[in-house]
Amino acid sequence: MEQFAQQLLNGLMLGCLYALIAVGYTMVYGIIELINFAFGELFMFGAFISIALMVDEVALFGRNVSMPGLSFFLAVPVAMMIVAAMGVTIERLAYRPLRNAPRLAALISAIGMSIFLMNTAQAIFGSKQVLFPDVPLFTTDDGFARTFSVAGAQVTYLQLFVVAITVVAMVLLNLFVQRTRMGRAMRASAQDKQTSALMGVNVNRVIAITFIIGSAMGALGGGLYGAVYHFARPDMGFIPGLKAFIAAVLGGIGNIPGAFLGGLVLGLIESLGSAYLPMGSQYRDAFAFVILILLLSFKPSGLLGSTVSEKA
Amino acid sequence: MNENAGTRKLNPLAAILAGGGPSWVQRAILGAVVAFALMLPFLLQSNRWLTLFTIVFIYVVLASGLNIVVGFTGLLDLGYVAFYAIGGYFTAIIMVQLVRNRWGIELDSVWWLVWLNLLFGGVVAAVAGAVLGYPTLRLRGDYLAIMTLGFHEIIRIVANNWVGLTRGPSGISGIPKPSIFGFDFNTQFRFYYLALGMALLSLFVISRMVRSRIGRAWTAIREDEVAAEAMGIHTSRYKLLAYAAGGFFAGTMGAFLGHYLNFIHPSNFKLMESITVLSLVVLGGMGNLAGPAVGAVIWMTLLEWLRDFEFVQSHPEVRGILMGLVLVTLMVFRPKGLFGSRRVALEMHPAPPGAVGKALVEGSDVE
Repeated sequence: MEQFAQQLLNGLMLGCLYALIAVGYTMVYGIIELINFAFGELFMFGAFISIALMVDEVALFGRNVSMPGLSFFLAVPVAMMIVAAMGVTIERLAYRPLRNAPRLAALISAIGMSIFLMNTAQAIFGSKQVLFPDVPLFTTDDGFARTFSVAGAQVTYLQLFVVAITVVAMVLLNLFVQRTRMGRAMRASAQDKQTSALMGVNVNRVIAITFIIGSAMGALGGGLYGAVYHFARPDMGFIPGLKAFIAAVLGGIGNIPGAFLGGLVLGLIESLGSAYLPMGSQYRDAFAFVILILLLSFKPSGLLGSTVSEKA
Repeated sequence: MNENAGTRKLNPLAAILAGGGPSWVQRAILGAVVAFALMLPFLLQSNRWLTLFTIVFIYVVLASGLNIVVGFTGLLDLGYVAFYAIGGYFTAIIMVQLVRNRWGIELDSVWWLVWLNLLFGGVVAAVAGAVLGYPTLRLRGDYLAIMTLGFHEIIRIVANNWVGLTRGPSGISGIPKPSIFGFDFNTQFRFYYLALGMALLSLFVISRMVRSRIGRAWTAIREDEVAAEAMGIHTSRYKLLAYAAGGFFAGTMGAFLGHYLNFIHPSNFKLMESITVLSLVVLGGMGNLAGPAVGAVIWMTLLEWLRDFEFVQSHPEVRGILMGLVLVTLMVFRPKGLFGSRRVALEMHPAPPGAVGKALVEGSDVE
């Protein structure tokens, strides 16, 4: 029972991290029907930039550079801003010129961007794992995680923080999309770009803002992921990025509450599956893809979505 | 992009690469290329270059096989190397784990099994390709990209963790060199010719395939799936056939790789390999016959040659950065690839007035 509660908790937290990346995928796919593989890499940059801002000195291109040593709570928002700027730039350079090209071209451009960013990160930060510094609020002086216990499970302050911040971010984001003028423009563009443009929506601006939000959320996820697992590595984003896309499909692509739900479900399945299935921990990375195969076979619209069928 | 498809005269090279029925110029150039490839080992001094070209020939087949799915049918397969891994592991498991270790049969006495495995490795990979593609048939093509990436990941996880079958991270060694009626392919020189032969045979089969009714159906699906369906093309069947055909060539070459290296290991089949093969297809030009082959020769030679530099050895990411840049810049500035056909150019860009009709009449890759 205790183990079950603990796994539930771990799954919940992991699910929140997936959900933060999934938001970007689901919003971008909802509007321009592109799988922006680069979100996984922006997540990775979120973790690396957070680390770089938190330490006093960091090795960039093998050269030591002195850094401000900000607090975690300042470093992550700054990293989010930097990554958001990267996201917009990527959209401008690699996707906007392909807006009217066949989808295959944009998709290849996206995977190219992802590979480019991953290897660039390796050039900048090195191929080895970089340690994520302890956050004083979440760790005791002798380096252990601060915890309290609920129903026999040890909850770390950090886990609570991750879940709380994700819920807040999701609620705010949903309000933004449902209640504001820009949110309405987004929903309109997702339904029909051409008609929205005729109605005076600046579709390019809407897409740029979608990339800003998606990238910032991914970077937030990266910063939190780094804090939870204490590392950053150039290839850390690729698999979580794919899983986040699967979470988005699971929830119903184009749907923000769906991305949250999909992330949570996926996180829970992974966590419980790796604990209770035979050989589960070795095969945990395969669960998401098995889910995807089942999903595409039986309920391609996802849990909360409407059907997306092949359009010519 | 100052291509003016309507007025520019095709130069002979572009004409071959466009993949139409061969004219005498094309036949001559093709013959010259093959003759050169046959003579090459006598011109080269070191085994280093023979090894390099053997690898290049493997990639020529991989790129041409992936071109069936990505170039001709227009569906993105990002886990192509998974099928390559299936072929490699298929023959390794049959030969080493089953025949030698389980049944205790001397491998020399079953030399013919190697050749059968090249075929059946391909067949197994083809079946895997079709099974994997099946759930995505009703959906948008982009889901295939995620499915194949996921499949690649699953294959990698299985190869690393199912120790009883694949021996996990230590890999399977002792895969025999091919031999035929006592003639052993045991030198780099002989392997070069074997690889060249496999590449020529595969290219021949692929060229017959894409110029057949099947190939025209694939192209029709790429250009407009709904219209293709309306014209009576059974799109699901042809898409499955494309996945299977692509998988077949990867599986065969995977088995070949196993027998060439005598060793199969999960790190032979990294994700970057899939991306490398994709970049060959994109570079040479999607949807034309010779493009990916030419792309493979040029790009793989360059990438392998780059390995000799100390800077690249200490910074392997340089290759990845280069590859990512090539994919993005080509898609943005020259989506038809360096040697793309006019047909693709017309799809990727709005055509000047009259160009479509003219291209159709001249028929660069329609028969």
